[in-house]
Amino acid sequence: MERFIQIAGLLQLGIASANFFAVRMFRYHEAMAPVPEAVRQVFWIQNIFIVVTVIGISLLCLVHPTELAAGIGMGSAISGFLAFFWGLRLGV
Amino acid sequence: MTNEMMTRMLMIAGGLQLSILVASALVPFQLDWRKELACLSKLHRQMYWVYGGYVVMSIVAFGFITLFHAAELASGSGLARAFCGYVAIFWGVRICLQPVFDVKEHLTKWWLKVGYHLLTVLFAIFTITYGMAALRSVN
Repeated sequence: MERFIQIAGLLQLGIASANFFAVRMFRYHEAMAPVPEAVRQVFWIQNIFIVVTVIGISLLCLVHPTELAAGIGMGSAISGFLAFFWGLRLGV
Repeated sequence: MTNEMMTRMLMIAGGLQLSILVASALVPFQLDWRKELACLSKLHRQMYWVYGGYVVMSIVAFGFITLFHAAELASGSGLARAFCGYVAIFWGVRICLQPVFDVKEHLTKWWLKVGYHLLTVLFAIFTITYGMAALRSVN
């Protein structure tokens, strides 16, 4: 289980890096140009938060797989959050 | 600082994080997202809403994980410190971005101004509290 969690951590780092390519691929600057500045800033901040979150959870998986796999207490709660996080993304 | 005190501080921070969601819920109305985002392509509009939803979900998770596992988070174990470090960075980044926001024209009522400054204080409290928990040694 620990190995699976570490692999998931590595894959999540890949997803985090994909966010940097998405800026150019989906032409964020161009696409967001027509909206007011405050609305545009919220979009960029959301992006930064998503990248910080994905990098954060990747590192948790890479460095603490044993505690996450233990199935008790906080480790279980964090694993549940990660499962919900990605499960919801799959649904969207 | 004792474990008990750290636990209490984390519980307060967990509860306050959930209260931030009141402000999050106001943002789409204050900035009139429905109207302002209408000019975007469907994909970009969807991304905007999905990213917003994810940020809210992360804050909900931080709040509940902290409320239900405050003692464990205060214990200074490896995962606890890593999680607290991650949440401290999350809010630390947010507080650094606070001066970048161009919100003056949207703070049209006194309670919006007060709320905005209160948010800044809360971001600082979260960064400091989780930062302290992250830097604790094992007791």
